[in-house]
Amino acid sequence: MSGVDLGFGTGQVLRYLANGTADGALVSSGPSYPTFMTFSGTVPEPGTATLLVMAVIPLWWRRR
Amino acid sequence: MGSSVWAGTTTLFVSDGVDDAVHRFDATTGAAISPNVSLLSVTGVATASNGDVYAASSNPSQVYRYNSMTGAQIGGPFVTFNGQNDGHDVQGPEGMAFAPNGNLYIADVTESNVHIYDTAGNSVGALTSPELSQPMDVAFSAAGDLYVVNPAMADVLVSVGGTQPLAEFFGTQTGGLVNPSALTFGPDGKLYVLDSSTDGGPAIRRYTAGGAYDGTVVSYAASSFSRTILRSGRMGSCT
Repeated sequence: MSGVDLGFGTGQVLRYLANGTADGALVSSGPSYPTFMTFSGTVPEPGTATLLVMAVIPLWWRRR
Repeated sequence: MGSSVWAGTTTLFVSDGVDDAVHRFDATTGAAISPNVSLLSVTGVATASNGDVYAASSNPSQVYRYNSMTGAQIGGPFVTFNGQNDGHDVQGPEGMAFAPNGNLYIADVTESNVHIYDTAGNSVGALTSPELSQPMDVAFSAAGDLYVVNPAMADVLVSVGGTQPLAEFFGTQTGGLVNPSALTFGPDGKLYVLDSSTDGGPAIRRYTAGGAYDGTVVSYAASSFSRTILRSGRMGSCT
């Protein structure tokens, strides 16, 4: 399997800051049906803002 | 803390049940890292304190261990499926999390419990409750308490230390949870719960350590999607 297998749809990984502001998509395509995620190590924070959470969204579900 | 083994690299692992793989990405840039980790019917993933990444499969229901830098599998199955109906097996693994003592907690959507495995992959029991039905995700607070998202009952349960009986986190239904499906602790120590289906569309809701509703952080347009998984940006140190 290649590094990025788009399959029949693509998922996104979105970032949100502590105040709830969307910080864009870290991953804009790749997983077909993302279900869970984890990190190795400490995730770099964007600028001086505190990174809150990342949310994985299956794009094919978003298009329903 | 000892010398870092990450050499400045942090990797995001995303399980994908359709591709039967765990995708790897640079956590800073989002760039894909090749190769993926191939695993049939992969579900939950979690990172141990030493940096190794664990992934569960529902076919068969086993857990595997991987080198986070290379993606290479380490040894055989960490948790094996023995089919003996002796309480060892997790039947429907979903979200997983490591306790501070290194034990692995797995939400079992089939058995409606949270299965616990020690650092050698041996079953050391399960947490159950009449209130627990088809749990989807688990997380540990900084204090070492286990939180379990409980979609069928639209609430969150907590086990002090991951050893005490599960009890309702919310004294009353607050925050309007309808179908919670994932949870994580933010760097502020507060609990963030994804509610996959509400009247106003999916939302991320926040709760204080005491269980008080602390507002809706993110809302999405109704019917835009029906599932996300949350993880905090901080996952602790690694040595």
